[in-house]
Amino acid sequence: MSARKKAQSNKKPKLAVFKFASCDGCQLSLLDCEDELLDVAGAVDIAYFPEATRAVMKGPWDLTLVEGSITTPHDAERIHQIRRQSKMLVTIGACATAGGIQALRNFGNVNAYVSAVYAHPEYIETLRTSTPIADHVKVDFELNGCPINKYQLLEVINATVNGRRPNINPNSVCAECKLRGTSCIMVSQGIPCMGPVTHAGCNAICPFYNRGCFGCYGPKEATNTAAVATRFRELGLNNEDVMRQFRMFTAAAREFEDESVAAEKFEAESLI
Amino acid sequence: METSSVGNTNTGSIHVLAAADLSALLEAIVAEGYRLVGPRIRNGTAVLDEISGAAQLPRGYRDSQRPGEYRISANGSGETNAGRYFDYVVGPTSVKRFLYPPRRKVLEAERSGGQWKITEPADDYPPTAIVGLRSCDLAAVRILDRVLLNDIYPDPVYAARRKATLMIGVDCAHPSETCFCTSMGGGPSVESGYDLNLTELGDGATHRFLIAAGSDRGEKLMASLRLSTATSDDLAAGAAQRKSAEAALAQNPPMQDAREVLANAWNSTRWDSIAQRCMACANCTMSCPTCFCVDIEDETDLTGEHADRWQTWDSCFTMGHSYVHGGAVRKETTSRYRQWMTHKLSSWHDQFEMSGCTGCGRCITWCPVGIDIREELAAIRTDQKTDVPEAAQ
Repeated sequence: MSARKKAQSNKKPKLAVFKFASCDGCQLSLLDCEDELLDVAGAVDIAYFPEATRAVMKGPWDLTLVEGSITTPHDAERIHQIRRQSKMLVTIGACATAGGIQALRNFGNVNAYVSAVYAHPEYIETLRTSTPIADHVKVDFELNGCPINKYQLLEVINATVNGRRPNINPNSVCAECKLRGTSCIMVSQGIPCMGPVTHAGCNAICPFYNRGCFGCYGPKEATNTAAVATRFRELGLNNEDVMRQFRMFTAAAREFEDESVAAEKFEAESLI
Repeated sequence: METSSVGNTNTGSIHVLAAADLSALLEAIVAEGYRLVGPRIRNGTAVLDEISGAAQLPRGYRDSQRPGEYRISANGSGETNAGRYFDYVVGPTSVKRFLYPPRRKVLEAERSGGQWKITEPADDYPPTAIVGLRSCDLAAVRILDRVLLNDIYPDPVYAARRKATLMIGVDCAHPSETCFCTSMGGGPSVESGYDLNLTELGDGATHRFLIAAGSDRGEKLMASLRLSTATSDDLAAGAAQRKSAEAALAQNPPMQDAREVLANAWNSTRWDSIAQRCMACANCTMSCPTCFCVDIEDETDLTGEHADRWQTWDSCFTMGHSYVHGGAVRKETTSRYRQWMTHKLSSWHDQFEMSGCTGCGRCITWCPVGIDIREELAAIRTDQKTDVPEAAQ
């Protein structure tokens, strides 16, 4: 039974929210929907959401929101159990969709970090990499952002409840700057900005405050990272600067990872 | 409110407005009930936005524009232009933003008892006077008129906004490096489509404007101002300024053959070279004063009993733009850039009997990587000349 038919049959769809390696910020976006929260609670049964309620309803769930990345063997198992109980599984945030900031470990040696950070490294059981949920199970929809935009989250819930496709634009951050009337800061001030290669959704908040886009929402559709990297170099960035532009909150998103690795390679070659 | 005389080319008689009386002109416009919009400095750019009066105009500013680069500063040129109001050219915003807004609710639907009740929300656009429109802006309005006021599917909101807008033109004294209006049949000076037009002359003691009306609304405003008749010296100064602006534009490559060149360029190797640089970020189309593509989105509330339909600027650089059942038709940037440039400079003629380009140069300046449509046209033309003609496939 589709979520929509379920809604029409007066049986509300069951919503579950699960957390993996993450900061909780994205699921808190749901609680941040202060004005709309009662409407959400009226439209769905909140079946599993430990951040909000101790009450638990067993699966299967109609809509499962998953926050966080896979960083432990235990979580790599747990996500399969959740998938089996979920009719529609939506990943929310940079961790769940791209591995998150913790995917910086993918570029280093995680054992070295564990030894440096923990008094008893032998208690730590962790994977070498932080990976997005879609690397492990089928994901029905990915909502990007670090954190996600609460209005986009509402739109995803809303669309699911009403049986339609969510209006989430995969275009660039540039398009959002243009729509809201922000003058391009890379063109007018020479500030390096990830906007042209980054997925829209934040309403271009950083350029509005004169900061280059950090790329929190990950790569936009059909992105051309090499072109913006070339422009960054023309603006005076060296290879390490370029590498850091791409190695932020969505460092392990494929297109960004490829570009940061390429910048490292250029740097290594230039030192030979 | 009187209706606009769309595309009026009557230049009327030319008078002189003292520079100190520019404020009086703007006050007279406000007294007629118009919201005042004009260039003002925001985030290091001259944008079109609401202004309270002449004091907010970027007085003494000059801009410099190159592919992918824009700078504007007061007295940055080292020339003495401290008193002049309009010594820069077009910025990132265009008249499109006002006549054809970035996002607009086109309908609301409410369901009760199994029936949908559909209403069109009223447009809240107040009568607006836009001051400082350039020749290329007014050319863009002519193009938008052709697209949006056609006989079959006229856009009623555009039509109403068009009528409620007073256009105050300004001749360009200092075209930028990215300007190419003369290559597109326009010029640095405003020729038509204005209610009032200003030519700013001199500075300091000699600072003044030539002023001409292009419509009844303009005539009426002029009648309320303290003006003197233009002398032959005034007219000569105007002509000299125009000549120097035209000379600055003369460096542009010829583009008159753009229609033919692009109509036969579908397999040019140049498209792949452009696609390596192009990020398909949509900056060019969103900055373009004539790109009119929009997306239509339906939103529902959580109950599903209320729905809104929104119209939002879209771009042929998005995958969704060419999406048909099963996928996007133009998956590669190669084909998307080709679609944009070919439509703008070539197939626009077939569709609307005119070019879609005004030569304003926004797509060049505001391209983050500085792709220059003039250069690309030249390269495509060269490509054709050197290629062995291919048989039709």
